[in-house]
Amino acid sequence: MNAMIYSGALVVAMAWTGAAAAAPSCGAGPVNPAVVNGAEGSPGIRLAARQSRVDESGEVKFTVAASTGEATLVAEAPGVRFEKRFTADRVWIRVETAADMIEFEADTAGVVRLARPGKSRRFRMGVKPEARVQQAQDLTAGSAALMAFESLASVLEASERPEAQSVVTSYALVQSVRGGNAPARDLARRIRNRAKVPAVRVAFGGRSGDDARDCWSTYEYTVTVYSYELEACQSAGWWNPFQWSACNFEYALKSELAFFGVISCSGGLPI
Amino acid sequence: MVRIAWLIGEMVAGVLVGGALAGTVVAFSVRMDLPRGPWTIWVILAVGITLCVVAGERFRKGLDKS
Repeated sequence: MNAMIYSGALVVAMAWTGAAAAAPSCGAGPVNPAVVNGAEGSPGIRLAARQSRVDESGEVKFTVAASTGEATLVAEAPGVRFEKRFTADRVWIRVETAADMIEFEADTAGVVRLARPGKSRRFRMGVKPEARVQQAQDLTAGSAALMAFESLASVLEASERPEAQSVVTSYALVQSVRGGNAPARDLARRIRNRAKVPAVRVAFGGRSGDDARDCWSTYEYTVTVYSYELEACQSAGWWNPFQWSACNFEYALKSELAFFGVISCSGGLPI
Repeated sequence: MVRIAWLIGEMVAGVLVGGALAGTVVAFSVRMDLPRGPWTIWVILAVGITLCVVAGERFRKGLDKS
């Protein structure tokens, strides 16, 4: 159920940030209004406008190009290059580092393709989610490109630039296929907060900025990830009873820590 | 005084048992898409503490008798 809510929020977020990134006239970068044949875009696509600018920290350079029916966003930071193309019904993402690359494609029909050099998998969202999460995690395990993407998204989280929000949205989208709902949830929360009228907090319910529902969502997600990790740990050492007990111990310990997190997070009182 | 120390110990053990129970129950309910919410934590915590207090009191009384 939560996954559906997050997916809904993600679609809204995608539409919002996608539209923002596809509108090159917003923002302060140099806009080239001349129609050019895209050297950096897809061959044959006529770029209606193209602009480049950097984020607030000056570390990430964005290039946005838009043509009729397709928009392209490129974000370049030291060691990582992110490229996204989107049309009305499809998004295509590629993240490259010097040694690795991941490619992600999704359409409005819920078909997702995830690829690394030499490996590719196609999923249908909503069908066998446990198997999909496991396969997506296996495919991206140890990916330097995914780690670089995570770093890039965390650098851009606080940025107000629409291009930055678009990159963070893409990260949330990729993570949602891998079973990670936290990036999408955090993104939806940031968007909600941005839309809110500034208000003075008159009641304090524990850690600043968290309410019981946020704490619960974090806990629910955390222990579910732990349970998948437990399964992976046990299946890796199915022949070894010592490893089983070590896996169980690790799971119990991490669950305890998460439990203390949730009861202290919501103030330690039933809400 | 000793009874209070026992009770505190039972409650601490109850919180620990509640944590382990919650980790298992919540992960299972997410994967099976069973009803759950923030209330789950408090129900499981109450169950864990109750179980440990009942079991601890029985154990303490058993020790007192012997």
